[in-house]
Amino acid sequence: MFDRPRRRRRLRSSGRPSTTPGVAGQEQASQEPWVALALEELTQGAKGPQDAVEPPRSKPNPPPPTAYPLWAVLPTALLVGVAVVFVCQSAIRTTLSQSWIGNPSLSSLERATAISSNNSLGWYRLGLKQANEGAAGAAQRSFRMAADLAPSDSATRIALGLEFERAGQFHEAERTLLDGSVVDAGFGVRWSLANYYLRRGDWDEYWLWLRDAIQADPTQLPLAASLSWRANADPATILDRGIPDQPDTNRGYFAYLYDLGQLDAMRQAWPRYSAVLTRTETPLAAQFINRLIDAGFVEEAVDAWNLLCDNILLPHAPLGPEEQRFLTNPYFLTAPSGLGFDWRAQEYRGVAWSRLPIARGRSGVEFRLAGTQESGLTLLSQVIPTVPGEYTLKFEFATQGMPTRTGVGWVVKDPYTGETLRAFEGLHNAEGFWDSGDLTYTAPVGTRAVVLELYYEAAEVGVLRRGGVLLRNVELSKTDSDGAVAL
Amino acid sequence: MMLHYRFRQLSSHALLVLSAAAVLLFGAADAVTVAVLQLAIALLAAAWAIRKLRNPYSFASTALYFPFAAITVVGGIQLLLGTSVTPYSTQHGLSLWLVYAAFFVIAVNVQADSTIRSHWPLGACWLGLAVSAIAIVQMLFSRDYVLWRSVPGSHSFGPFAEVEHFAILAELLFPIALVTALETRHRFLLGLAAATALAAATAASGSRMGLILLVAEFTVILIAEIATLTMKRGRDARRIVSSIGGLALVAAVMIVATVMEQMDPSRRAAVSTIDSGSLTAAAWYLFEQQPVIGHGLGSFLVAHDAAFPTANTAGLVGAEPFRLAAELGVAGVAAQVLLFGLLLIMARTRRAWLAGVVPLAAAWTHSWTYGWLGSPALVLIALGVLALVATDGVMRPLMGIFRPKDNSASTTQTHQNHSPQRAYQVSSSE
Repeated sequence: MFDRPRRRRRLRSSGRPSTTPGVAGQEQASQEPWVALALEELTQGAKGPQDAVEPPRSKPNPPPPTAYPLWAVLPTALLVGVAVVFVCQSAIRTTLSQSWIGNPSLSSLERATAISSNNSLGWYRLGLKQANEGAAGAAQRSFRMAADLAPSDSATRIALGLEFERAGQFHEAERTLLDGSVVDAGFGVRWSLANYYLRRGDWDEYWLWLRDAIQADPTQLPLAASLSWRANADPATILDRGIPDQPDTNRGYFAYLYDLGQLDAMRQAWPRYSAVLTRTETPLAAQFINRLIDAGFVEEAVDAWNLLCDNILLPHAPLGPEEQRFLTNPYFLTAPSGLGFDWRAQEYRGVAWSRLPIARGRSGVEFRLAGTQESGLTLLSQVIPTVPGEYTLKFEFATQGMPTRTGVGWVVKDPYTGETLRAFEGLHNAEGFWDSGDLTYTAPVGTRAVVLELYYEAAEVGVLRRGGVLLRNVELSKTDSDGAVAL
Repeated sequence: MMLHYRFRQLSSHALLVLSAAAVLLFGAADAVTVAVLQLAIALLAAAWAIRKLRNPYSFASTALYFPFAAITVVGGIQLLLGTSVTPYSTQHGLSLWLVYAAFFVIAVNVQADSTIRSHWPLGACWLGLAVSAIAIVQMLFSRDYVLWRSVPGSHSFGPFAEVEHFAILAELLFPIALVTALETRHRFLLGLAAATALAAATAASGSRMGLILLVAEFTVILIAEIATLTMKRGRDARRIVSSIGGLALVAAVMIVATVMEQMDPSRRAAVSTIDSGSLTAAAWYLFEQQPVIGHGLGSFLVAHDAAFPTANTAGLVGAEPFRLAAELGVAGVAAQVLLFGLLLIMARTRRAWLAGVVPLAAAWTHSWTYGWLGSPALVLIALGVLALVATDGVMRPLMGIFRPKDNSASTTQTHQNHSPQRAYQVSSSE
């Protein structure tokens, strides 16, 4: 490779003058030592092409800056200048306006809108401030500016509509809000329209816009429903006219009614709700059934319970007092859930219960008494829909470490009158084997349900039992008919 | 009169300082910092323009200016014609994009000098090291703080209020640091330290996407390095050992930090899951509504709110490529296609691919799940990386820059080897 810097140094240090006459470029050669050297070597006799010295390249001159014509320079300069000015003023305006908008004083907001007149947020905030301070006309102007700058922003139209309404300009208020509903398909402006028509007493429009608002955002249903409840407490009207018949709204409204504790309204809404039930709604539906039972609507509760069972939302067979199906979960195939007509196992200090898997697809339940439990506990219970007649309860039990008088027994009560229909004396101990027991009781005329309770009562005052009681295969049959029918 | 070289050098320092300051000042998220950045870059652009008028110099141009021109021109048209949904937002957006364009133009011009250009990877390494160190120290000792600001319950990490922004910064800087370590012997330790710190901090940040992309970047660089070592026989053993050792160290740190992060449920809980699929569909719907002129630069949220009033805009953070398309219409799509097309055409060297295309591609990928164009600090860093690609193989003529009639190749090479004082940018008046 040709080492140009070294060659240059060598040439410079040689200091040979260019003396060869008659060679073209002599004057230039005097300025370029490598030319002189090359010429000298040539004149002293080059041996061949391989000895030819490749002339080093001269230092390249920088490309001359392009001289642009004036017609190109001026517009470009103008464009750059405009851009720089635009950026600077935009940055300053934006910063100042945002800073002033953050300050709630009227003067700051006025300054913000003055320096950045196309900021709709500034005008909107200014309008709110002016409205709060009673300057209705100025507020209207500010809101109009904001609405013009951001036509799709419904918040400004709502505020402007309210200002018109406050000033008694109802036609303008209605028109503004309706315009807002065109540009924004959301909840806010529809909610404002519903409120507006409610204040004006126009119920038809109120229900229309309320339904529209709920459809726009079903999550706002509790807010919309609460307004309807405050304005018109007739559950049927609210359900028919105010709640869209859609799965989400039906679910939301039923949950709202449950929170509100409106059982009658829930009973009316149940047909809609039951049509859209999924497994996630089962707990709420079961809680509704509990309330029905507590309130004495046994038939409705059975219907609702059977609907859940038929749709396999609950793992139990449907009930049918007429068909001799009284007991739910008699073999404890699932743990007592406490929902509806299923077993309810209470939690007490000193008492623990668990479900035991037992052979042949039949399970049981075990209660462990720690000896620290109180007396008079209901360990297990179930509400049983009943028709009048005589019934026989059969069950199997075993004990572990319990004395002869275990203190555990059955009692049958009418849940609505509190009358005890039959109490069974305490179970005797059955250590290490399954014993069977039975209990017969009579449900008098007018009985719709009974509650079957497994209780613990200390046999002797101050003496608490310690040990375990196991229960399985609980069966209930009506025995006053032609033949006993087991479950 | 100041030398052109000196002027470029000062400009380069100014851009580097501004970029670093933007990152360290909470990612330039607040209005005052953004305004200061805008003013500083606008003034710098004005200085360049005045200098060009008074004392002409060779202006480095690249086809990569076109995407920025498209965005700013369309933004200007939207503002002038009043087609934007929110003119105020469009004005602000246009102002920002003009600043970004000016930053990029100046960065390309200052990096046209190879001596100055070499400062940028160095600056990236130092910035990555500093930010990662701050982030790790902060995570260990004061999680509820962003530097000195208390932000309890936030997803903050390092100087950023949002952990994903830190991850995107790491995606941009990590390949540069690693390539610097592997290719520049005297910066081996600095590059390795920066890459290691960035990897550790990203793993500790809990950003799953960030970690995945960092691993992808690492894999690409690892494969490229192995290919290079395999192809070039007779390389000195020390270089091979240092390369393999450096890569192994980074990999080990990533693995350890990832394992530690996975064991820390508090960091894992801080990572939010964003459904970017629905946002992508919404952005595409908005694009189809106004495909020609768009809804207005910077007006995506307002347009989205009007079209989908019940959607929760608080989570609108991803699908940035489509968001830009929705804001600018077909120009937004064209700008992105043009940008990446040109990037792929212009990146001809291994270094340009590994330290330029790879980080930009990673950040672009991340923008689908978490947008970052709203963070000026990240945009400036990305523009710096883009300028590195544009000026890689300095003076390679693209659009007529430095195109002497003769000996163009030798001219280029000669200039690279010149000391600054001998550089030919010295004007005739100097």
